Amino acid sequence: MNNEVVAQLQDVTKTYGPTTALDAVTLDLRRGELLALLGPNGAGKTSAVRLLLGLASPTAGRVSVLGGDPREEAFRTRTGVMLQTSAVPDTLRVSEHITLFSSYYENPLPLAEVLRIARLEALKTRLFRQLSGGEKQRVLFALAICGNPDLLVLDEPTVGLDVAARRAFWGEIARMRQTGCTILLTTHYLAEADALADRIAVIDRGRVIAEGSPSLIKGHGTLEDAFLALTQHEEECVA
Amino acid sequence: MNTFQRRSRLVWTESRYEILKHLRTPAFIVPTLTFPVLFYLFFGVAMGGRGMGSGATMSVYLIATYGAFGVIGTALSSFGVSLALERGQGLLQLKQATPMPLYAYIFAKLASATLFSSIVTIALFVMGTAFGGAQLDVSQFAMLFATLVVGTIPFALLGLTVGYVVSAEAAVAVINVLYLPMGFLSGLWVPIDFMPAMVKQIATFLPAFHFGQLALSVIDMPIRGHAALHAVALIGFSLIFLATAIAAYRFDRRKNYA
Amino acid sequence: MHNTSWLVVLAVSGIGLVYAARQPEPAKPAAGTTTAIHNVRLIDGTTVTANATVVFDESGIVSQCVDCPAPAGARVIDGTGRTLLPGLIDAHTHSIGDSLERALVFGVTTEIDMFTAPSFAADRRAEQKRGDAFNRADLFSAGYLVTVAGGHGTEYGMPVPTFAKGMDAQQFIDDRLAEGSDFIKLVYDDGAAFRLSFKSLDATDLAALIAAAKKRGKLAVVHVSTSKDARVAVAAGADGLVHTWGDDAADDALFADIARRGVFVVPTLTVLGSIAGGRESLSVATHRTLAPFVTANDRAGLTAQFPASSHQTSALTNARNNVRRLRALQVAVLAGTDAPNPGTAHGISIHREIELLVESGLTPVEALQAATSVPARAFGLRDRGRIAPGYRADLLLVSGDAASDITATRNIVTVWKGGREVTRTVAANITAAAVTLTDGLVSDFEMDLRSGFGTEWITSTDQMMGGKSTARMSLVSGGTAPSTRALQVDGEIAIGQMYPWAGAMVLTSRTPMAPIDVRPLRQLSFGLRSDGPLRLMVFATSRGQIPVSKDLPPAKDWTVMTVTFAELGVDGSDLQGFLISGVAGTFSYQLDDVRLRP
Repeated sequence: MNNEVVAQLQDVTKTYGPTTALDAVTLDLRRGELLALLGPNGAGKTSAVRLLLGLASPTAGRVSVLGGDPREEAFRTRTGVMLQTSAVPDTLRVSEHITLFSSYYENPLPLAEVLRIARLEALKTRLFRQLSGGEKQRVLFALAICGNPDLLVLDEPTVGLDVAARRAFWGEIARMRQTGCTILLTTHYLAEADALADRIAVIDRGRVIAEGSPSLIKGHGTLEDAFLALTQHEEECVA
Repeated sequence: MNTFQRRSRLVWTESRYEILKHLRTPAFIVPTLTFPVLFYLFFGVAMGGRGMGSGATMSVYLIATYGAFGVIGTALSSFGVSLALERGQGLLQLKQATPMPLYAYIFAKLASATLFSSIVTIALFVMGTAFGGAQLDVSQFAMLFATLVVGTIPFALLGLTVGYVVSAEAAVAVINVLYLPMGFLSGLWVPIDFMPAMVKQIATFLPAFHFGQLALSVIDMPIRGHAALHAVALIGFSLIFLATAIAAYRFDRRKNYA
Repeated sequence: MHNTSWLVVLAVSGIGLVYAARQPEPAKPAAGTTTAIHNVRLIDGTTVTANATVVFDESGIVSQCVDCPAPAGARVIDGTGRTLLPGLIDAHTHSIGDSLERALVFGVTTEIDMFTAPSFAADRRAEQKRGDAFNRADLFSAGYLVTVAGGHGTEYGMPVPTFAKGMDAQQFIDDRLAEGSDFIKLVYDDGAAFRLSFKSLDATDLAALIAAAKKRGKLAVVHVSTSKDARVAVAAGADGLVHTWGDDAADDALFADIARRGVFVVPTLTVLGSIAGGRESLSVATHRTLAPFVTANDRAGLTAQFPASSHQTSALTNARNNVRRLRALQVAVLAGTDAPNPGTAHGISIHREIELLVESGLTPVEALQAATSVPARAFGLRDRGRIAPGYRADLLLVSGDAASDITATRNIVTVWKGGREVTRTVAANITAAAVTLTDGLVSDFEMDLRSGFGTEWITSTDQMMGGKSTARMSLVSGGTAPSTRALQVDGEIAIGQMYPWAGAMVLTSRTPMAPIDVRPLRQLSFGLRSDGPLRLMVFATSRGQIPVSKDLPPAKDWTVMTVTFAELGVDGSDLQGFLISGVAGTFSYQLDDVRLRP
């Protein structure tokens, strides 16, 4: 794993009116790694994601993805996206959705490959509305990977899934990692961060309060202990 | 595949699925396509002997006005309702995070609106000729068809304006509040000549009125005022709604993508 | 900020355009009475509907419905046993003088004129635009026809601009359009069909002129007399032919071409019947319901005949066959009379024309369409020719069923023009307007050429009938005492004409040839000085087209001459005008103090 930086938030502040979502955050994503952005709801994870996807502009600081500004279309061609608040049209089939999104990219993965990674072969011809919650998540994941991205951004991808589905999803992510892409995963599930990440960045109230490999963060306890300690510590500092 | 080919493929794929998606949605197809045709069968053919009288003339007149009404409906729902729903769903956001260019999205909606407008128009032509005793020649049908299709533009832009501003839940209601009264007050349901003077005054401020008059002029029906000025009015409305659509787009961008 | 101001500019321009395009509701003047014709058989220009009720006012047709009552407040006219038609459209006329007034009496509410003086047409158009034409048919006119020097159209004495080889076709057409022509009529005829000899446009120029008309978005219709010429005209791009040919030499290709190109045809069967030497056109003059409205002028026109040398005996038969074939190919056939050519009269002849169309194979409804919706459509007259809301209320109500019996159109009950009922005066009751002259003075030429009738003295010569006589007027000092100035007339009577004339003339009414009643004045007196014999010609309606003449002896010195109406055979109740003409060779005379005396 080399240390080339694929995406970066450089001293980024993001405010929405009086609210500060991100406060002078610096975050690097290195090639080939899976970085988990861990934090409770409202910590600023989604804001960070939106900035990296070019869906929002920083109030201060600089965002760069694959060498450029993600608000420009040219720098989004190698990025795949799975957002939390998405739905796709009910009346199109799984394969049709994938074909459509693939057309947005220059060198998409073949349909069969996408279906394989996302375990959707059997559901190829189903209409989206005929799928269960977990199956729908897999389709959204498929749409994220179909462009054969160098950078994959997954915003809370397993919310609402049951334990078995979540585990299965981790398997899909692992399969995707085999292609060598870099993954940014946001989550508030500690176990998920622990299981998947090469590095974890803990974010709370707009600040990155810890960053490092899972073992480094855990220290001698569980991730949960570490997390609670860190976030409480943060509270004390603020108070 | 070079960039131009790829981009064309992209636009074509986006359009194709946009249309397919609607075709499989009965809640969209049914009102958009059947209401104008049903209205026509009811007023134009069944009641042909009344109102305007002389079956032939009334049924021809109504082909133009219900055609305009139907086309406005497809434009407003393809651009207005559809866009608002997709914004609410987060689909637009998802697509905008990909390299999909915005023009492909708009073009697909335009293609979809045009296709459904064409279907409504042809259905009305067939109804009119088969049941309404209309006797228009081919060039008149062609001119009417072209006028109806091109005249969609201001309404597509109006739809875009509404689609970028209203929430998904409110979209259908807002569009209907715009669409139905405007259609009625513009003389697209009941010929404008039968409406009270007050309505005739109001109508001149409504794009649907000018659209209807232009469509009527193209098939030699008597209209109020010169056809050319109605075309000018539609161009004026197109400019206004282009400005509002761009403003609405920016408003949405600022609000959700700041 | 820069971008926002662009948006504002865009929106404001849009609002500007919308505002500019708003057309104010045409100020509806008191739209007169609302009239409803109840329970009538309606032929609306395309279909026949029984038991219809049509409501209209001066703004146009308001509504119609079937099996329904008339609206409250309307003046109701019972339509039982009657047929309501759109006002008839005569698709080929030459309108001058009171042609349009005569036409309306017989239910013709629009005349499509193929050649008349542009000034006449312009005045009529101005009146129509003002909405001031309730007592006559509307006029749509080609103005001057397009012909060459020595071509058909130049033989009527009216100076006509002619096209010569090498002229700029577009400029020529633009000049006609600048004169106000509603459409362009061209002549392609060398006269052979009538054993006459005319010069004519050649095919290339014809095509160029037609193209020039189309470039300006105007219709180009062509006068032809033979199938050979028709072929050329159709190939040259004519939108319509305003006669059908009288020979039987047309081949299938010509008919097919006409059908394929959508050319319309005005067969003008009535005038072709007259060219064939027949007198059938008289049948309308004696029809029971029309006869009372036929004036002497009308009768004169209907009884007039083309010179025997020009007769084409088979013209009508061939023309009818042509119509049969054109109908089979669904070519648009229009009813036109070519009034006021010999054998025709404005208005009344259209009833004969549609009867002839029925005799040529059209159904009565098709013949009625040929006189209503079809010409309206062909000439782009979008506000007439049909009965439907929004259209003009030009209507004809006749008794009987015109859809099964075409002659029912002659049983005119009422005619409406622009929603107002037309007063149809029985001919015998056409009283000339009474006129008061101060001291009976017609003219003393002290200042100008004006007369007490409100008209001016003009020169009149036989050039209008193809002759070559000339006359010139001027004002000179002198005259019968106490007058200081007099009218001098110089001219030359050319040989060659049957009835030559040239001299000064005064009409008694601003509507040319409209009669006035000057009783109890019974004599005409005037001061005259001339070196040769002269002839006095007096025009009166009761004498028809030919004036009464009285020879006047030469008078070397000023002489006051008096002529009584009695010795002329008129009674002064219908005076149209008088003229003093030379008799032979060069002549010169002076005229002063023209008066009418009791």
